[in-house]
Amino acid sequence: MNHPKTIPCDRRTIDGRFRKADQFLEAAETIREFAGEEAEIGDAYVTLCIHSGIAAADVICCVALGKHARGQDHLEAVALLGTVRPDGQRLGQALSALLGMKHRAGYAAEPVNADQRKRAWRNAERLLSVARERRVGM
Amino acid sequence: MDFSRPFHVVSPSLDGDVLAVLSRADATLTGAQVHRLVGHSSDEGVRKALERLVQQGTVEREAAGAAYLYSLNREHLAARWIEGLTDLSRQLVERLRENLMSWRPRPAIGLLFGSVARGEATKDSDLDLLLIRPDSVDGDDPTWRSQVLELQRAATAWTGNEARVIEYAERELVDFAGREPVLERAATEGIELVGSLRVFRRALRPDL
Repeated sequence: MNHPKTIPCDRRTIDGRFRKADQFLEAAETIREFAGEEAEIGDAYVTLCIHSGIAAADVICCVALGKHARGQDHLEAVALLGTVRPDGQRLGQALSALLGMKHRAGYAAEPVNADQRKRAWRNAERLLSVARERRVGM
Repeated sequence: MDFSRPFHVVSPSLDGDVLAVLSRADATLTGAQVHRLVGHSSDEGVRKALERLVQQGTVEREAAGAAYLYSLNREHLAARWIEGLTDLSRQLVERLRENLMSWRPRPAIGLLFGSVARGEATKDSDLDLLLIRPDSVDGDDPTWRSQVLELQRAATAWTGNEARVIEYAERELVDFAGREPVLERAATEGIELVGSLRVFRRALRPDL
């Protein structure tokens, strides 16, 4: 059976996904502060940044398009975000960068490196910041 | 202004709400999708508005089986103004940032919060701003006071919504942590204008 690639969303979805995006990034910052050595918690940290970015992307898509991508369809999520005006292409690149780290942070034997930790934070923060601002005009 | 219906600043019509929906997406939408995103009026009303806009050339229509798909005609002479009106909220945030960044002395933290930040504002809503004054600046400092007043005046003029500035000194944050609902609200829903929202949250939760 073919599942639709997107899910319609309403105000409740927007508020709920926004809270999660904010919560994940807040948690990422907290574990970084409490870690003796940042590299020791790098994979958990990056995974939280990725989840924050995915939730923030859902908020941005919901506000502009009334729908967000299905959970596991990463290509669709990036493509859908790319259709949001005026800066969807740039935001899609940020999400794509985050999703590109998902396997390494969550499933691979090797840990993420310092550059990936830095990029994960930067892209997640950018998406959350835009999600926060887009709610103003919804 | 009504932040969720930006075209109402020039004309309170359903056609403007339809244009705002199409302007936010680089995609073709069905009439039903446009209706859902507009969030009010009847399905029939939205379809009639779409037809009027097709007649004006601002909206393009293409057949897809039994249905029609609609998109904004971004080559239309009016497209840049349609996109500009749709984008008023983002422009407001940018303008507030530019204003606060030019201050001397500058706030340690400046946040937009309240109904505007939550996306719940109407034309009658206040525009709530929180400023955290550096401890090195006296609350009665004449330059500081004139900057606050000018920001209130300007933000009200930009939007038609009454700008309300709430001000605390940096050192007060620890004293008021957990006791002042307005600070807690700003920490939850605030949009960063100057300084760091994370630093602000940390200041309110010194135990973390």
